[in-house]
Amino acid sequence: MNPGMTGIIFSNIVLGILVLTLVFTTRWNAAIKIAAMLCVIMFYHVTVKSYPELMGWPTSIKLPQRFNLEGVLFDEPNKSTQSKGRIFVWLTDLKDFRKPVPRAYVLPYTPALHSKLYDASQKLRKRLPQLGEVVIVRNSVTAKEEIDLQFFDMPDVLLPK
Amino acid sequence: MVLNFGQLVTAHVILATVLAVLNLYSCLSWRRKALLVLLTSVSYLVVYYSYAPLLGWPGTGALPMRFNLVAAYGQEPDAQSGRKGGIFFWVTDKSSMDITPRAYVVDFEPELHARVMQAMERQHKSIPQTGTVEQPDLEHMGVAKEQRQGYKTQKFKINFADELPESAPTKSDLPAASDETSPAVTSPGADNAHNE
Repeated sequence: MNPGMTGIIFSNIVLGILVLTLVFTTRWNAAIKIAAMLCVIMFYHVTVKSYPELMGWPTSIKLPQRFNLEGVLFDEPNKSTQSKGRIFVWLTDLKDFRKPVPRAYVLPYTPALHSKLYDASQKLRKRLPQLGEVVIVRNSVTAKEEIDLQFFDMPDVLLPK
Repeated sequence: MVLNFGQLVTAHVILATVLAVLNLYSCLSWRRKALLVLLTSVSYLVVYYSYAPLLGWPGTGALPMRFNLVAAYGQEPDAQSGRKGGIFFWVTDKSSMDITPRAYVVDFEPELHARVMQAMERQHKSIPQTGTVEQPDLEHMGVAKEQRQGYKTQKFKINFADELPESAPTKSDLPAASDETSPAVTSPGADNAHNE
């Protein structure tokens, strides 16, 4: 099970414990107890309804260490809209090579990243699958750690003789 | 009612806090009350960090009626490993001004897979592809209204076509006295996003 799903189930169980404690161990008015129960039930319903709407949107968590690039979309910075720009990447984690499922990520826009991903996407167009690797580099100016990507052409599969 | 990630976390925190405060007036021992408060506090952190691992994965919801194909990925079923297979789409909704792409997955169908691969071939030749979802006329198919809710995207027909460039306005579309001062013609959809 996805660790995120485990966390959501845990937090909803906590809400259940809280409402049951309220109902059975306090002397609050019955109306308050009923209202609390209804609120929790409604929250469960809203969570279940909202979950599918959250799926599919890109995540800003860090990329897998090694991945297979499937697609790129650039949203370049725009001074008129004061947009800082974003780069969306769609990739499969090489760890899940038996059952790869592509996942969408969003990265902050940098010209260097744009250039690398653009080159990789051009190779993708030429049917050259691209293997990506995340490298953490320290920015010499800001001294902050930044994500850098390296791309390699996927090696040909060696078939047994 | 559908909430986004931030609203869900906020709603959880508010609800849990109110319940925890109400529980302070219970007949429980102070140790148990302290445990409840601790559990509630932990749940704030857990719920906050739980939504991020869920994001990014393809959704099984219905594709937008008209979309721009950014990328697609087909995974054929494999009886040996028990893999169900699927066709993954990464698309932007044409009816929305937001260019954030969203990922979807539909059941694997060889015919659809062939169409998707053909669309990707054209996409690789720099011909943007527009997808349309055709809804089947379930009423004429004799499907009861109660059953129609269960019909998801895979029951719909997904077509692809080359995205035609917006035609330049003809002379009659331009204002009469704008020959010298006519502004540069820009298409409304031409934003600064482009996919590779």
